[in-house]
Order: sequence, then C-alpha cells, then structure tokens
Amino acid sequence: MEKLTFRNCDQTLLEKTFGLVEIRNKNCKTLREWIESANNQPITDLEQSFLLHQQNYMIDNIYSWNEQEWIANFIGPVISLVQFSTLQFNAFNERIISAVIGDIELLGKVDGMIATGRREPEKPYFCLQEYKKEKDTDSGDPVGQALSAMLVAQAINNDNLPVYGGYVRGRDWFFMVLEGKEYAISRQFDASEEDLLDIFRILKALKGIVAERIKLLEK
Amino acid sequence: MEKWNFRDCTTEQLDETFDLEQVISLPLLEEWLAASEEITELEKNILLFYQSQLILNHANWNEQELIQNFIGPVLALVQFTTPKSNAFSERPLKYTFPNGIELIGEVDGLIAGGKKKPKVPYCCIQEFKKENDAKGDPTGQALSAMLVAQALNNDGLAVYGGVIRGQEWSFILLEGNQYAVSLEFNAAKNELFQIFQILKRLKRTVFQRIEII
Repeated sequence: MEKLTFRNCDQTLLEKTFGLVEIRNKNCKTLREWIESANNQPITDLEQSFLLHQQNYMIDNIYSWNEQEWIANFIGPVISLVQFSTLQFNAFNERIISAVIGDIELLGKVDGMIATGRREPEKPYFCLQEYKKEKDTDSGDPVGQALSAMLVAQAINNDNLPVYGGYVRGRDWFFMVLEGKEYAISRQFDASEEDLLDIFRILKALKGIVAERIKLLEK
Repeated sequence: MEKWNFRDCTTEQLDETFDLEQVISLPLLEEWLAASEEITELEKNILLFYQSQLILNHANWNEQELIQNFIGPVLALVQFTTPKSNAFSERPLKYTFPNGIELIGEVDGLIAGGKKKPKVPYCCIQEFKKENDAKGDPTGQALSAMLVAQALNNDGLAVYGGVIRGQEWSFILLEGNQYAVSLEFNAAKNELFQIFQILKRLKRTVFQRIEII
C-alpha cells in the first residue's frame, strides 16, 4: 500500500489524490460561524496581560527565533493559556496519527492537536500544523501539511462533522475547516497586532465547539 | 579526533576525561539558589496557572508538550531578551578540546549573549520528559554543554546550567574544574516560586556579565 506522510503533502497533491476542493472562506458557513462566534468570547485581565507580555516578547524576536523557539516561547504558551485540558479532551503535541483513505495510508506527526482523550488522543477535532519561521522557504507547503492531518482526522472520526485546523507561519495564523471534500482557509491573523486577541478568542471558541461535540458524542 | 555528542555524555566519563570534580556545593551556587528577586502579582498568577496545567498533565505529557505547556511559558515570563542577550532553544554548540575530543550537540535551552544567535553562552539547560523516562545521564548532558560554554567563553567565569526532568528542576554551577549540582526543586509545589526567582537571578547575573563585556 502506498504511504504518504504529512510533510510530503501539498495542496495540489491532496486535491488530485483525494478529490478535495478549496472554497472561498466567505462561502464556508462553518468557518464563518467559528470566526464570528469568537467575538463573544471573554478575555480575562490575566489572559490579556499575559498575551500582551508574550506579544512584546515575540515582536522583539520575530527575526531571531528558530522553529522550536517559536513553539516554546509563543505558540505553546498562547495555546496553553486557552486551557484545553479537561477530563474529556486535551491538547496534544507531536502525536502520530494515521488512516487508510482509499488505497493510500496517510500518516504523520501533528504539531498541535485538540482531541478527545485525556492521556492519548482519540478523536481529533482540530489539527494545527507546521510552525514555520518568519522567513522559511524550504519547509514544504503548510496548507498541504495541515490539510493532510485534517483529512486523517476526518477519516478517524467518521462522523460527517467538520474538522477544524490551522497553521502558523511566523507571526501569521490561519484557520481552516474541512467539510466533506471541501475546505476553506481564513484570512491571516497577525499575532504581532491586535489580531492576537482575535486569535485567542478563536481558540476559545474552538474549545466551546469541541465541548459541544463531546456532549453530542455522549448522547 | 573523537566526537562526543552531549546526549551520550555521563558525569563519570566527563569527570575522568576532563579532570572534573563534583563537590557538595560552591559559594556561587549557594548565592544563586538564595535568590530573593521580586515576583509581581501578574507573574505569580501566571505561574499558578501554568502550574495547574503541570499538575494535571505532567504524567501524560511528552517532552514537546512539557516544553510548550510549562517550560516555555515559565522561561518566557523571565524575559531574557535584550538587544544583547536572549534565550535560545535547540541551538548547536561545539568545541574541540586540547585532548582531541570534540564535544558537540544541541542545547535544549541556552541563555546567552547575542540577540539573534548565541555568542557567549552563560547557561545551558537540558530538558527531559517524564521523571521515569530520562534516557542517559541528564546531568552529564547538561554538564557537557556547560564545558563547551566554558571553553568558548574562556573568561575564567562560572558557567550556569540546569536539568529539568518532568516537574523536577535542578541547577548546576561549573567553576574551573569543579561543579556542584543543587537538590531538586519541585515545580508542582511552592518551590516553583524559588525556581522563578533563581531564573530571575540568573537574568541579573547575565545582564551584569554583558555590561562588563
């Protein structure tokens, strides 16, 4: 059986191999609703203070950090602040997922994942892939890598529900939704600007979506 | 020339090859550990938040999860970045000693002079996942990087270091051919505040060194 790893996937390959179609973000109701629902998410004083602290730290280091430094100093602390850790679901990093889709096995490590399961990921609902440096020309296609992990999540869950995802490239964050064969990518959110608070609200909204999904699962 | 990677180094091997001596303590280590730097209300609350995540998850986290959810935020809060210094992760360090041995490897955490690239390494930290899963000799790995830092700096000054194993942190000081390793501080307990003060004291020391340069 043919094996395809996330890091070797790009958009074109995925579209041709799995029949995926990119649609405009305005036409993707799920993505639109997710981003819009973020407006209602509160941010506490503590969260805001720490986010601004992290933002200043990041602005000072935009052109200094390597990939691991972006992860350890900025992306990790911001995602951790959302507190995805509950008894039913958790945030995981660098966990391997795989699925056989058609006659191809798609597999790889997901940089960041929100999934059911407290200690080990079970059903992945959100895949964040490829933390790139600000200037990175040789690490492959971030969209393809995120999308391939989302495709595996879709196959594992097998519930006809949308899979959420995203990728981070330096200071820019992008959010994605995969629904059936269609996928959409949000506009860029610049974490060095006021967008950082929106990014945090979007992640908080995601936590609400995952919690709702789990309630459905329990019924 | 023989190449030794940090990850394969043990304290016993380093002691024998580089004529090192482990001592119970050193005055500079005692001074460092006695740090009483101020912790602001914001810092305290943020530390408590990340501590709660550590308590809930440390048994499940892999190394990357420990870094992203706890070590990263704590080190970020100390803020080592200035135009002349920074905290670096996974940067390579190497030196060939007169005995023909090249010590080489990536340092998990490095506090150094230099903004975009580490130039003068002052503190080398090695990080490991769960307490029961540390491969090799964590102190040996940190000490080997510190030896390289000492050789590169060549200034007769002490080199600082640390080992993080899950929720346990210990600190190391290398001065000349003597080194001392602190007892462990448990980040899941109130000792987290001591860890933070020790890191802040390290920052003050690094800034003073940079001023001297």
